[in-house]
Amino acid sequence: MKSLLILLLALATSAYAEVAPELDASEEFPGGTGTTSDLSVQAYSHPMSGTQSRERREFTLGNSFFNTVWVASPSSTTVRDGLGPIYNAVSCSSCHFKDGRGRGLPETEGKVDVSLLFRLRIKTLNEGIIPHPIYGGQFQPQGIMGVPGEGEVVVRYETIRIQYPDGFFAELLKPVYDFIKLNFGPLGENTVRSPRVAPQMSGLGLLETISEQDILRKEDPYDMDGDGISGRANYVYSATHQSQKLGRFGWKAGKATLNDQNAAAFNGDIGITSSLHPDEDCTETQTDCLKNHTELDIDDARLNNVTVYTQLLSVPVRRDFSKPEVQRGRSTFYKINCIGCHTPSYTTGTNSNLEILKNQKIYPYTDLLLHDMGDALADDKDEVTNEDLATTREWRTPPLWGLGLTQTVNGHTRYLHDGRARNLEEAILWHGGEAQKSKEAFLELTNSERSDLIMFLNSL
Amino acid sequence: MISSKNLVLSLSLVLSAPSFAQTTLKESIQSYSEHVHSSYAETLRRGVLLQKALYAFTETPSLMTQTVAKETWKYAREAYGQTEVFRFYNGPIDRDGGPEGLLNSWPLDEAYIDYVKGAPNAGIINNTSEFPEITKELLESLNELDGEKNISTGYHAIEFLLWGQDFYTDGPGQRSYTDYVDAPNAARRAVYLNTIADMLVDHLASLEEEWRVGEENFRKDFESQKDTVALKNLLSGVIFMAGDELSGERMYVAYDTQGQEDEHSCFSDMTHMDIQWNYWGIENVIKATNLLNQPEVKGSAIALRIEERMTSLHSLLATIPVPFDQAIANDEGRAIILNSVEELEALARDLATVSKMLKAPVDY
Repeated sequence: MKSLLILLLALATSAYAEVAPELDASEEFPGGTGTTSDLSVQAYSHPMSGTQSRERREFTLGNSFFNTVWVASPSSTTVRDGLGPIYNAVSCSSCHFKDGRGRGLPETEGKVDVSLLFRLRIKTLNEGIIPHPIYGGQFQPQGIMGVPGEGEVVVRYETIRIQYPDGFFAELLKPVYDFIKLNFGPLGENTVRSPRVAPQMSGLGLLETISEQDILRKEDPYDMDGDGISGRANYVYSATHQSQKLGRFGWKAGKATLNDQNAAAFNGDIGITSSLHPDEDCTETQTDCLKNHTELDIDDARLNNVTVYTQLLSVPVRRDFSKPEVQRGRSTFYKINCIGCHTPSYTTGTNSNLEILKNQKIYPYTDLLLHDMGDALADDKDEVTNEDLATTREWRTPPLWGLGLTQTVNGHTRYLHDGRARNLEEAILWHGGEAQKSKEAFLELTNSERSDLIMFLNSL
Repeated sequence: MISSKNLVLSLSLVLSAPSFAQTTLKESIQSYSEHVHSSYAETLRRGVLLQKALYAFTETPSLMTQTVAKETWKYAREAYGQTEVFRFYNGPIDRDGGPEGLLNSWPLDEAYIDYVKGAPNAGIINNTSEFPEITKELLESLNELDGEKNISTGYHAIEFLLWGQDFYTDGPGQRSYTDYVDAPNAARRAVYLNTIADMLVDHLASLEEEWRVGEENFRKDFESQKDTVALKNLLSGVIFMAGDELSGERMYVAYDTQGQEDEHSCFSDMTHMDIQWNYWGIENVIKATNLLNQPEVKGSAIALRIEERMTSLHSLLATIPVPFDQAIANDEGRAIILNSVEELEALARDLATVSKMLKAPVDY
């Protein structure tokens, strides 16, 4: 019995030194047959290759509403009005510029970028965690004419120095957020401020088509295999299906489907109401906001166009995928167990209206599960639930495909949930909690192994 | 004054008559560069005429100088519309830092620039406290700030400042020349118009330079790429223009939403011509490059089909009723528009097939 236990332990630790499988030709096409070969500034903006006729037109319509600048109601442009009363941005594309990633933070201290928003929660003694009673569940800095915005967020940085065993070092900038010019009084000590930057839009429809069973297979909430990595599924209310579903979108896997995600983002970020979210995010204190409530700003057909748009956005083809240094980086990615959360590959299921999304071998590098990422990335010093089952310490593993084109498309290399990492190396160094072992292994690598690993990530 | 009759007669810019001789990829690519350069040179020439006409108008605002300015705008647009097919592959026009967004962004939020119905003090022009001085630098910094509809420069900004908002079912906007005489901020409006005219010329000149032969510029890089890479780029322009930008963004969105703000030249009611000019640009490239006479394609069923499609599209697009913002609302107009959309998509699919035959596959 004892020897069996030792054997099991040995197996468990050996799981943390995965040998990369032989390079497969399909890895060059991370989005399957719909992978796009465009590597320009438009790299994230194409529909899955082969999308034609009616579906391509729906994509174009959705694209139009994604880019639309919403204006205050009433206006002469009735299909594109209903902005606010309070909001973060006037269009989807102002944060997801070219369908890419928001930058989040400024180079030097000052106002945060429009692409960074904050969820606000209050820790209470008896009710657990609730949306902020005065500011609502999300901080909206802007207001339409006659309605005050909620305030401004500015950032300061604290420098953290990381020393590698081989003498190299890196300096991370830890953001500290200050909420200023608050129009409804202070937020209060017990407020949880959870920053969220606009993520890249590539391949979302493919992620939606991964079968639930394939995601749940990697769940290990009690870390039974002892690799230090648990992985929990979030279960959330789907407004589209009106039932509890596995969450897979958003920084905390707080939305089950793209339609849920889009309707919620329209509502929270732009103040656009829909049949799924008929109410604006105004609290009882915000009387001007309440007075300017508008109904059904986007109808189901248009919302559906946008959802089809987000489902069809393609993934760019790999660059340098078979170069030796990239292959070495890939081996390291396996060896130091980055794949413990960043699951390389799936074959999508059959549960989609769009043929191009079904039965595709894809390489998103995510398990879509929640992981404790350590103190440095946590929303709050206390561990409390924040978004359905997700806690203030947990984040959903973000997909890595398309990562290396952020500079080309968005003109920056800011990563993580608020853009605090200024490049991929910093993004790795911020990892903690369940990723601590892998991070430490990264520190132990030689300089050239680290650089190969970054080359690999940039090839995705 | 340029009469609209002359406008129609000047037609498409393509210079080379279709030849039936077989051609090499290198020849096709060089012909393309030459065609792009001559198109931008013509666009620049007409842009300078527009700049002059706008200066003449703001110097001596009158119905006559305003009409000349409008006609010159159309003349300039005719040339530019045919260059839009040179987009969608990170060329000088729309690579990072390229001037496309400053030249031709639409739809634009009028109230971002000037007064609109119900908001007499709206826009940069009337915002004297925040923007005491109107300069190129200011307007460039404000373009697309906080959103793609916040457009401060380019052809459509000029169009709005000449025509004004279009509230009329039977014709374009009716801005009075007195907006430049005794209306509030008339002098600032004139400065604004002249400034964006100067910027337009600067941007067109930069495009012409990038495509000049024998210089250290984009053209040199373009022609020194592998033939199939250069070919894929030029075909991406043609295919995405036909199959997405023109058929989708510019026609189908307006068709489906029936929104007046969803047409390209909504102030001047020139959208019907924008559509044709964009399409001529596609035809020009196919003809100038002699692509259908590449050995792999020449005489094939698909080459013949593309030629037939081009002939029929050329006349079909000319039958879209005018103005476009009314055509999207009536049955006859809608049927023609939808038919055109489908034909353009089919053309894009056929051209994507050709791209595969030429080993320069464009994903479509």
